[in-house]
Amino acid sequence: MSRSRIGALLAVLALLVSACAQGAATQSPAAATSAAASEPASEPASEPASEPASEPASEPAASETTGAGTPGGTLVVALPGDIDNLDPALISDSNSSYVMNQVMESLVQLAPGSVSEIEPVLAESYEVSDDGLTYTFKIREGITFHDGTEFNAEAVKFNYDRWLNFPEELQAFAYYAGAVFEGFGDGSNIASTEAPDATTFIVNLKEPRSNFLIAQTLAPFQISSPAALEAGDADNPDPTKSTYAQSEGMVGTGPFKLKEWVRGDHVTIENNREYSGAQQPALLDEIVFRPFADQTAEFNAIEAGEVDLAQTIAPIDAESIAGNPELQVIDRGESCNMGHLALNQQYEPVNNLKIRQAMAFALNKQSYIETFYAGQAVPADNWMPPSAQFYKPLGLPTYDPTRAEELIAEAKAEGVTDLEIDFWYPSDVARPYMPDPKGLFEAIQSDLEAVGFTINPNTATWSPDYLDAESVGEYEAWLIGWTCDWASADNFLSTAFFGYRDGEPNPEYAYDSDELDQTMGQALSSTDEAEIEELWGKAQDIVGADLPTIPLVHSTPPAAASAKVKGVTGSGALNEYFNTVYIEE
Amino acid sequence: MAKYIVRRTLGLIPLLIGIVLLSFVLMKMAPGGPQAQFNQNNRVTEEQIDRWLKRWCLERNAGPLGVAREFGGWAGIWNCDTESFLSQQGGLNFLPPQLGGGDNGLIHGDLGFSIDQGRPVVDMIAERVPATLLLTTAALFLWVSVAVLLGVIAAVRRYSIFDQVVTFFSYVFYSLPTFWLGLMFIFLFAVAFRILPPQGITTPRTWPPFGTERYWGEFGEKPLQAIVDIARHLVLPVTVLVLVNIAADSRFVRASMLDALSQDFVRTARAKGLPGRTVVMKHAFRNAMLPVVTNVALELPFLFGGAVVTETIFSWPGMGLLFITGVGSRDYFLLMGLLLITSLLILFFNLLADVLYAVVDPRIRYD
Repeated sequence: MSRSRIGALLAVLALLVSACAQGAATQSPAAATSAAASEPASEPASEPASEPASEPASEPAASETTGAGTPGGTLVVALPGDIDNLDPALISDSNSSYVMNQVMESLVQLAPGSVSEIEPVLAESYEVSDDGLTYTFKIREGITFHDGTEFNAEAVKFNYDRWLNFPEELQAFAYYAGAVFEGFGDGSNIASTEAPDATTFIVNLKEPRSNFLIAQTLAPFQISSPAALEAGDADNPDPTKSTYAQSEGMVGTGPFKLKEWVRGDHVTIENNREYSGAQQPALLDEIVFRPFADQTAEFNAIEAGEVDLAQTIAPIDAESIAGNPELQVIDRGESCNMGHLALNQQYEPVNNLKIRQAMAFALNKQSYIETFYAGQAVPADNWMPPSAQFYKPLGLPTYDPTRAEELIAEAKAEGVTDLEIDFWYPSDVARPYMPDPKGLFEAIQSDLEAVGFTINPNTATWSPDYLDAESVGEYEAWLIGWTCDWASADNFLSTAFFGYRDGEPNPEYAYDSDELDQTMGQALSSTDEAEIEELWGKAQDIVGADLPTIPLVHSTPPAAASAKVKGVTGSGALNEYFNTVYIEE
Repeated sequence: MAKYIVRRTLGLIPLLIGIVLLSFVLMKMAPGGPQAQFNQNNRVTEEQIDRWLKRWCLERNAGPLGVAREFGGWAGIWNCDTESFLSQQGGLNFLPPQLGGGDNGLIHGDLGFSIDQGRPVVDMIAERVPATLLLTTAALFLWVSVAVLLGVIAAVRRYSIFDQVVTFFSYVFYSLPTFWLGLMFIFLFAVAFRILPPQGITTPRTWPPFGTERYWGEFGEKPLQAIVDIARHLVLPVTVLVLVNIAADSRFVRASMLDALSQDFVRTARAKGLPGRTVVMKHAFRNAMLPVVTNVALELPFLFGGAVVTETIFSWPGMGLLFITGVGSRDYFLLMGLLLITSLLILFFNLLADVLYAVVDPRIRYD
């Protein structure tokens, strides 16, 4: 009897201590997988919610090349995680937007395969006034929502007004509306919206913003059916109570429509046979999106033939996929991301420019690309990828350990004594711009130590610990990056990295340059194309000279598909559209 | 005996309270919280987060008192709307609503809602029970049967080649991490040879998701294919669970059997000239099974606790996978629901084991 009582206590203790391993003996490293699983839902801003959606349609040339194809069939797609919810306005993760891009449409979208070219979709055309304050969209006619209600300018206005006037509780979930409108209600940068007739929609800004139009290509600005929003209680302050967000949502105008979402299992969308919009009608009958816990599972599933297309595979698996005649690697074309060795200038010695330059000269970026990205990346020479609007090569330091040692000697002569750097990397995550953070860290550590630095390794779980700490400036040196929302200078330089937060330098990097912040502010509010380009050029020169962090790579994380899947146009911003996709047996 | 059971059951109540309290506190001590989803959104104000948390009866940076209030809210003693022990009706909150109490929390039979999905925790757990039970029952049944068989043979042929081989392999599998073994099996049988599915409980291309109404509809139409399909998906995870769990039980059976075989009554039976088979099966085996029965009863909570790692590796839609998802999103109420149910069952099966012990062995008495 005493034996079993101890048994009881042991069992209970095991339960408590390991918190997630209820069964004791069999279960061990549950914690490692858990953070990875949680991550997609909880990292809005720094993540790839790079949307938009769109098709050729308005360009006859494009539809000729992609228009052919066998109709019918079901495509099974592996996603790196489940979608968040069914209300485009309340999402900020790339899994949700990847699915929404097939079902929903916005006024303007990014052209297939492009990360910066804007195409009108629900709008037939658009016009920007000379002062940059008035955006007039000519709305397409003859389109109906999936629920049968009519799409018109009034419906567009309904959506924009909804985003602008979200109840305060919902504002916390509407990241992109808040970021792009610069607030909500009267506090936003939107002066008014108008729908003077059924085919005209006008947005009036308070201050011109040169990124306003491209921001409208993001999934959170896709137009939902007003009737469905109302029926689904979409503005309930608690999004878990909105049936639009939880079960009856994604009622839009796209070439596919939602069939069902079974949480944690799949989202199924089906061909919208009544599609009458600007894009090419869909060929497939159905697409089933299934969430996978990690890239290994995605790889296994595509190798085993359980899925037809894996949205993201580890770069090192690309070779094995390419060698399999039944599979193909889908090229993502231009990169739309940047991974860097981030530095925070509150700390010594990285507050010294010569030290930062020495670090940059010490890093052999090309060898990282070969080892960790399987060649699917290019060395970074800027904080934005070459695909981004206003990009220019900056001639940043390249691998030259001798030059690094010289700079360290110069810095020492100036009084720098401490060459010790606390370096952080995430323990449990693979990002498109860093598929193997630990490996990358070790390679960087050995390069930096080779020229005389002392590196103290530290690690934390990606979400929430790592992201929390780095975003408030607790780390001296760490690995992080950015996948674009849209491919323009402002999205990288200002939104992602060095724009001031509430008038103060971003605490993440503690990089203090009023000149840079003012230049970027002028560029965003200017309406003169030439001036905008010149200002962004100046901003890049400032950052390049100050070298606040060390850009490492721009990667193109590959997708894999069965060889019989045709018509996929890969995109570095993940704006991939399945209306042109078909299966050829 | 009845008195003993009543006394033990009453004793479980403070123990259970201790368990849920400690689980709650430990969980709250882990960094982060469900509000982590707003971390990267620099427009969200602290007031907004506070208001959102309050909806869930939670507090930002809760101190000891705050955690106590949160726990009280979950348990139903505290009322978050009135911010007191009193309900909106003015009575003490823990009383039933008919007596002026509140209607929130465990004490009113409410396990609450998932913070992540907004659905009742009870529904979410109930959905996952069939898949977990299927996996764990199959695994437990197999590993206990095989362990008994191996243990008995190993004991009878002590130090034989068979004994050595069983010992060697059971330790090898005992020491292999489940996740590694699982990945290797997937790679070999699903990717390289393609003879078994790599994950899931049903084939998604041909079957609707397991557990839905549509699924059971189609199950009724072609039950044979449905069972074959599930069985194919069961093979790999069950094999992994059996392999890593067999060692402990087969060693236990072997030791218990050796113990029995060295008893006087076995020697007497042999001396009487009974055939070896009868001696082993009738005399030694029955006696050796006494401790084994208790041991197996203690393993029964595994049926519900599930196999967290195995379910995760094989994307098996059971409670273990649900737990992992909940940990990831810091879905406190879902986790508490799962922990509560698991601890209840562990305690129940321990009690059952004690009682069984007395039933199978009349020499043991409780008073």
